[in-house]
Amino acid sequence: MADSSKGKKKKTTDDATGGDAPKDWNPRIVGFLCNWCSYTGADLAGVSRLQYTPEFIPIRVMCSGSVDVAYILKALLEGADGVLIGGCHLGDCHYLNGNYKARRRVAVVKEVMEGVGLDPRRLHLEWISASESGKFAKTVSTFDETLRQLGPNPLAKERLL
Amino acid sequence: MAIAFKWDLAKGEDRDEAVRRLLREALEKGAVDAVLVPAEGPARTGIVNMFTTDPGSLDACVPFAKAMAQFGPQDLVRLTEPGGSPIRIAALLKPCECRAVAELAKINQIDLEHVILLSPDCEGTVELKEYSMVADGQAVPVRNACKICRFHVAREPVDMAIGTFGVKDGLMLVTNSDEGQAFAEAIGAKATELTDARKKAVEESIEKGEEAYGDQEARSREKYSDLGTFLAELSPCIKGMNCQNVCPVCYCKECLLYTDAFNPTAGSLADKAKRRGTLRMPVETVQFHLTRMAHVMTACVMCGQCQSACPSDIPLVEMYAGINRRIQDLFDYEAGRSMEDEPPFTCFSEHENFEVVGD
Amino acid sequence: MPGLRKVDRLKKLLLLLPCDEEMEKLLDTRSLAEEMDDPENWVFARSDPRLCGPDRSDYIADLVKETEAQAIIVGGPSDRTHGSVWRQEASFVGIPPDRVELVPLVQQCVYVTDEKDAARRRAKIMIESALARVDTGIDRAVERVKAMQAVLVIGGGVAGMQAAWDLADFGRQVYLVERTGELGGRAHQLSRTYPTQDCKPDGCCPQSCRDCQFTPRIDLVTSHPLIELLLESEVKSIKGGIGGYQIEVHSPEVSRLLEVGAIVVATGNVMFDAEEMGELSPWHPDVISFLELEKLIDWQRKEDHAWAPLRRPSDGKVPKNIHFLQCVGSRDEHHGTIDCSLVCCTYAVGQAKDLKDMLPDATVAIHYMDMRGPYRGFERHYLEAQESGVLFMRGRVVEIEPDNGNLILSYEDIDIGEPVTMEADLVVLSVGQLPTPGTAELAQMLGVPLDEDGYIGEDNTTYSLWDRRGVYVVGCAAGPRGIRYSVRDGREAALSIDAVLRRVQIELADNIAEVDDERCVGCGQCVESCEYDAKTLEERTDLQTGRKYRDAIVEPRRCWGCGNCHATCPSTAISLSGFSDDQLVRQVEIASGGHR
Ligand SMILES: Cc1cc2nc3c(=O)[nH]c(=O)nc-3n(C[C@H](O)[C@H](O)[C@H](O)COP(=O)(O)OP(=O)(O)OC[C@H]3O[C@@H](n4cnc5c(N)ncnc54)[C@H](O)[C@@H]3O)c2cc1C
Ligand code: SF4
Ligand code: SF4
Ligand code: SF4
Ligand code: FES
Repeated sequence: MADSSKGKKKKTTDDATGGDAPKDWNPRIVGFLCNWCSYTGADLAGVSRLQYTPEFIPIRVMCSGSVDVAYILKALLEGADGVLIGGCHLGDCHYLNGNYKARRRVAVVKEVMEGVGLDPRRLHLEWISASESGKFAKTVSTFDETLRQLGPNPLAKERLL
Repeated sequence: MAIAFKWDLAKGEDRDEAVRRLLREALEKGAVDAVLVPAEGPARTGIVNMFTTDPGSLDACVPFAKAMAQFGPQDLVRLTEPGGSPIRIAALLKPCECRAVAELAKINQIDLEHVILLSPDCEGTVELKEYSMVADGQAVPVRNACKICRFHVAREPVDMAIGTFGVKDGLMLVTNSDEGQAFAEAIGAKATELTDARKKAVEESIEKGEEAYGDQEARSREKYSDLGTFLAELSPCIKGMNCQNVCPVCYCKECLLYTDAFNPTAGSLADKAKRRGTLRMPVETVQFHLTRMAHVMTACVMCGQCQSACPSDIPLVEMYAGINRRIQDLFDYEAGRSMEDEPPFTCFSEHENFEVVGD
Repeated sequence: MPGLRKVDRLKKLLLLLPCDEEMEKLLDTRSLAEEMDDPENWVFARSDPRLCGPDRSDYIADLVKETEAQAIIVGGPSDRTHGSVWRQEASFVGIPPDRVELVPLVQQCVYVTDEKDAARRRAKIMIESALARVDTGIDRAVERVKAMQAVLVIGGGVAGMQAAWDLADFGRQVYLVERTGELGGRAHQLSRTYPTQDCKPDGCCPQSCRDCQFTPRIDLVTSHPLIELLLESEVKSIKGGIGGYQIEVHSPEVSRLLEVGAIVVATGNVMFDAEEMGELSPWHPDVISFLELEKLIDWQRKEDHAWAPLRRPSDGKVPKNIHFLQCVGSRDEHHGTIDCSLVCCTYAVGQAKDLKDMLPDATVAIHYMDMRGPYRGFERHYLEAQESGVLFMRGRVVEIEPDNGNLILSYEDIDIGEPVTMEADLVVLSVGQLPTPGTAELAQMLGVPLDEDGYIGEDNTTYSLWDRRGVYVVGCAAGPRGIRYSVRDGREAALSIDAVLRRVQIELADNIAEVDDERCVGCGQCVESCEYDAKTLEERTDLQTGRKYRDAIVEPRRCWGCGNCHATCPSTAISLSGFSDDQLVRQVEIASGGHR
């Protein structure tokens, strides 16, 4: 799709806190995880010693329905290779139906992304319950795989955005 | 239910004059207390909106103006704000403006209770700065938003469309509401049948619009399938936010991109520059455009005012054409279609599925 | 790198807990603390075994004194598990809850990868994100409100009656709203309740089970001067929140507006209707639910004024072959509910034994999946039934077919592992229990969430409904339970309410939405998207210009802090403390890694 062809060449990466050694590119994922389900699922994944890419950085939010579209776009513009939003399963949202609203927002952002030539697969929405540590780890890993195929976020190399 | 009325041309009258007479009648007979209409500004160099209670001042009004004044819907926001005196206003606006009015009314920005929306069939408008050329009789192409417009004829929730398409002599007033009907009766319009010619002409205009939009949509999707195009086209953006200022459905007092969160302090800017290496100043230009798309596309009526106002000629209409209908279709929504449709971000249906989960 | 000073930052104490030895092997918190310690930028990082020992509080107090820290960031445990512990710890040294951040190094960082370097890098990003959160957080005073002292109790079963009685006894005005024309609820429809206090139906007890000394007595509740009874009444609307609810109640011919400080929900639950399980021939007159059995017994009693033998509905014959089917529409993924009803085993065992005593020649059998008696004493009850000759057969009956005036049951006997058929002349279905119809509407009015199975969540671990909302769900309204537990719920609620309303002022939780007047345009989209009716549009007047405008306002007592309104508002006029735009945007910047 859109930007996949551009990710061929290997880029170097630098960690956010100013690490020095250049390394092979690994997709950076920003994860918005709802407090009640996905964040707890992520906790459980770690406790269960399930592994996934260390380039996944979690951000705790109260509900998937509280994730502003501006944050998603911000993450992509700041160079994240992918954005994951994790919420409770439909019907299980701690706040009744925030996840339905999140789904609408994600649908719109994906369209916007596609409409400007950013691969919508860089945004991934998943329902992960507090007990689904396996699903959590698998989701991150599969997403990581997809992003590897897509290559680095082309916005990341644009300096003057 | 659409009910049609006739408004014949008086001797020597053209259609513009016939509508002026209609508006005068409305004021004189007390069907409304005031009108908001497009009028020629000084020296006929531009079109502005005129708000008046005086039938005598309607001479300046140009109902079928080939250019669109700025801020018509926004004017109605002001005119109907809470606590205002409940004067009855007839607002004559282009079909796209009317659709924006509906969007604003849904979110409590306009109170339509005392407003009659009138909208003449629209053949498209030219850039405002080119109006004087049109007024001089030169042929000027319409704006590209108009070339792909799907709504040249106003429908519900506009109270009364002032029809010319498929209407040989005079005007056909097509009312879509009880208020519109009462208004037509009050000004003494005579009931008539919706002619086949009219119906056909309207259908044709819709078909043509759909086709033109469809073509543009396909072209836009092709064109912007490469991120580079979008970024390149945005690079002359001065982030003056004209597009946001003139947009009738961009109704925030102040855009969120002006808040502290998106306008870091000196310290964090330096931090950020360190992190990124470079920063484009002012910051967040692309963020602004993308966020605006996500915020506004559900309500965008494709009036093209944003692009017309852009000093850098950024082809916003082309960009939006690729996603506008697609986004609204997701929610079976159409901006300005009906007052019953809820704005998509405030509601959901348990049965909908956009297949965005796990994808 | 010599950083520019951020103007908006706080002095931050970063505590990296070295308590998990296994983790320590993968992430050396001590060296990480050394690396992250940056006094010039007001980050004071420490990793010390004392943080994991009994002197933790003292150590932290010393550190706070030494560094003048205004915020604490804890690296180690997750907010979900240890958030409240650390917020409490911080409160000892005067640091407010919204200046405490937890970085789940244990749960979400160290064990995620085998690469030590990667884990360390990730830890630093997560810590940086937490540091930024406190620097960009909004300070907000905790809101306090004065409380109304009266209490509303919805539902006049045993649970509601008990709550009403106790609250009235504490001297509170109580409004008891009951939908039907009488008090008592489910328990008063039962001929006998179990476990009995060794009392026999024909024994010496002067009371009937329904007026057992262990349940609140209707006559006492009815005559209490502080209890206003509103029978045949419905709650129509509920506004406000803890300490100040305004309730509209419709009674026959009158509609009242009540003002109360707290609400007890005691609306009980209802029985699963076996109609949908056609294979069990639920239409057959001799296939009855346990409530119908109760009615039969009751009728029998009234007719004969004695313990006359039971007669079956179809032809009035005394049944010789009575079969109880447990778990009909309960513990079932396809019908009714997957939950256990908790009382049916008790009830069936007791009732079967009594029937066996009444009809010694009859076969009385219970078909069950597991015997579940959720209290001490059940086993004795169960053994007694076995001794008295009640048959216990393990397996789910899959079909009941009428045959020549009798019923043929087919099932697989789990103990012998074979399909079996068996004859019966009366079948009693122990049906599952479901939420009372209208529970969702009630929850909506109350602004409280429903559990996944449709009950009002009774007590959520982190956001305690009990105290945050002033809404107390008791008895079967919170899910199936026996009488003694229902009654105890009522008691507990009364005690909690009394304790909460007694406070001079009630502290509201700080995690609530706030609208910025300057930014709000009164579009009302947030109002539409708030599921708890915590938001309304209000018309206001600018005192300087006299201009009228509309703004959204939050009723803090109803807000759950979900942040959905925040994401809906295009103007970002809403902020949620702890999750402000400033915080999230900074976190996103850090997490995204900049332009690498
Ligand atoms: C067949 C059966 C046998 C049982 N046997 C035993 C047993 O042997 N031992 C035991 O300990 N427990 C037993 N139980 C359980 C026992 O009945 C319950 O624990 C107890 O009755 C629950 O009391 P409650 O007050 O919570 O609800 P309920 O008794 O159901 O009372 C709820 C009341 O609220 C009213 N109401 C409902 N909605 C509204 C509304 N919106 N507004 C106003 N009023 C409303 C209802 O009319 C009702 O009066 C049995 C239950 C059943 C069904
Ligand atoms: S975004 Fe542009 S085209 Fe759409 S409504 Fe606003 S001004 Fe008109
Ligand atoms: S959504 Fe935002 S602008 Fe609209 S009413 Fe709510 S706070 Fe105000
Ligand atoms: S955060 Fe907003 S949407 Fe959520 S409960 Fe509070 S006011 Fe309602
Ligand atoms: S709380 Fe998890 S999605 Fe709403």
